[in-house]
Amino acid sequence: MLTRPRNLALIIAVAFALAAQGHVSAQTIHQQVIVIQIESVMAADTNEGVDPRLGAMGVRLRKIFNYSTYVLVNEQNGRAEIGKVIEFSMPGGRVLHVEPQSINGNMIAMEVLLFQGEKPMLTTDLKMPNKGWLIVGGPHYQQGELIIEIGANTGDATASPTAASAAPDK
Amino acid sequence: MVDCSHISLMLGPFEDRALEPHEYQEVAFHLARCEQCTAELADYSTLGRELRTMLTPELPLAGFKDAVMKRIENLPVPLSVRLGRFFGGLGDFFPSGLGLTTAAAVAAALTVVLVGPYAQMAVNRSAPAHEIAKVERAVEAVPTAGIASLRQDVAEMEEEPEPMISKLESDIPSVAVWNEPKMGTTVIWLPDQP
Repeated sequence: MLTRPRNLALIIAVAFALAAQGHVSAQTIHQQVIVIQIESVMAADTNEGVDPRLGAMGVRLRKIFNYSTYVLVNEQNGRAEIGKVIEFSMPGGRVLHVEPQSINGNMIAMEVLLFQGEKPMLTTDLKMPNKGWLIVGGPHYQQGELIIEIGANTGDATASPTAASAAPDK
Repeated sequence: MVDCSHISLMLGPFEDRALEPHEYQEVAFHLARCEQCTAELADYSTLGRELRTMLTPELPLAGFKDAVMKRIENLPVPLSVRLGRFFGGLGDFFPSGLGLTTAAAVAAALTVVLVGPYAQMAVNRSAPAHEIAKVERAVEAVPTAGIASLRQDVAEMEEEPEPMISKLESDIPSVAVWNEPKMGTTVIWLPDQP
């Protein structure tokens, strides 16, 4: 039969182990950062072709839509921890909120809100594959449509900690 | 002379040395003169010897102690007793307080290492070499004609899970949503309002 001090030692050991395990898990969760990539594209039927700055993105847009002109308006990158909202200022006075909510395997759950000024235009919860894209298109912007491409990935990226504009608004 | 029938009753006790001294003397005095009772006593002696031989078997005690000790060693020891011995052993090496604290820290560290995510990462990272070799041999054994179907199966297995929209709210009517699985893209289209 164990003596009382030995029972106490066992309890301390188990408590210490559980606390350490919880601390490590908590650190793992807090270290999860999602890299958000935002590209704003103006699509129109003005026969100006695809902006070369779009690269592979332009090819993808031409496969999905039937516009004759795709111009990169704005490009931003940001990093967001799970459960924290990152805000992007979009062309035309629109504001985009992205909140990564969880990672399950290769799927990233996010909440995406699009505002026109202060008025909400779209609220959606979705799960998308790592390195996948969500395109929010329309409504009308300048002489065409504004297409917002939202990419999310869990890997290392060279993105700056805060949202930054890489291309000037047109 | 005393009657032989009287002496005969006392021959058994005489042989067993269970008579009173005066009875013993009486029987001995009679036996010195009576061949018949002497022969009967001899029969008693022979019978007693044979009975003792039959009723005293020789027990095989060789190895008995070792067998008992072995069975004792094989008895299951309760966990509490084993833990008690472990911590008791630690107490022999360290002062009691330091020993208990050390035991607690060692247990915590082992739990973190063995159960923690770092261990899981290490387990997932290490692929046994013999398993890889086995897979390579299996791939080599696939006939050329079957490679196309094998690649198709692998492509289906590696296909990305499709995105899923669980909530969609908008003031704009007729919002269109569709997936482009080959491009890993989901599209939400907000049409112009009239």
